[in-house]
Amino acid sequence: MRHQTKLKIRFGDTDMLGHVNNASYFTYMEEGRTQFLLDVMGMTSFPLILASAKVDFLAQTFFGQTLIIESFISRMGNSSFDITSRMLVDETNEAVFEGVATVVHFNYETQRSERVPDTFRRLVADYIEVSTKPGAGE
Amino acid sequence: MFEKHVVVRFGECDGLGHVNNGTYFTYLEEARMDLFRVFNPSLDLKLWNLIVASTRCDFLKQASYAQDLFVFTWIGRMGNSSFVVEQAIQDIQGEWVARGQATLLAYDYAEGKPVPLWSDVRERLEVHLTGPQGVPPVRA
Repeated sequence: MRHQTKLKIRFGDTDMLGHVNNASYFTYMEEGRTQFLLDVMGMTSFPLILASAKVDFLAQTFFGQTLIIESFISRMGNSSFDITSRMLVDETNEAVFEGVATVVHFNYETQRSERVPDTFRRLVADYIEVSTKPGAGE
Repeated sequence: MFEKHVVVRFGECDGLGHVNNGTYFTYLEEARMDLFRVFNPSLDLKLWNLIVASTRCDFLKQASYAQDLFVFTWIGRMGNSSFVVEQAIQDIQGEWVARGQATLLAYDYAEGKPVPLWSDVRERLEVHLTGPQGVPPVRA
């Protein structure tokens, strides 16, 4: 199962080439990821920190388009897990983006990582989809 | 190797008090400015000839408001139209804050397709193949 977030491209997300700037996609990915986590966990959240993020750009996107962001868990580890985000243009279904963020359960007081809680593992069980594509979700 | 100094702005930090993940990609892009000049010395928009195919960043240490950061940029593998830009961010104590990588394509925006790297550009990239001392590799 994949979580879906709909997002309208804002003018300020584009750069002087008229397309969405590469850094804006990381904000889109964050939007999809946080909506996914809020929706599956309700109000019970736990602190996270990003260890890495990477993306492949498949096509340019432009102001006026609406994107569908699909989010799912592509790896579940001990204290970290990977969230993959795929973006499609709403009107055409064209895939424009695929990215993976490695997220760590992090205690900001002790500044150390901690095991991902079992309650969270149960809540997201339906959204785990381990990728077979090389380079994704390792 | 190219080097760029950035100072963290208030609005670049999020509710966790640290630089937001998306901002690192703006720092990395900012540090590619000298590289853009290799391809397009006037930076004239009508002559723009590069596009990002993929990018990544490993977040190694949190950064916060008003901090001085130094972004190093050098060239990795060169292909036919594509090349890898290696990047790393260091703080004033010399600790590594982030390690980035971007694959760029020489690109014809009018035609909408990649173009092979031309010899003048290759020669000018080849003087930037060495990164900073002690830089960590990208995570596997």
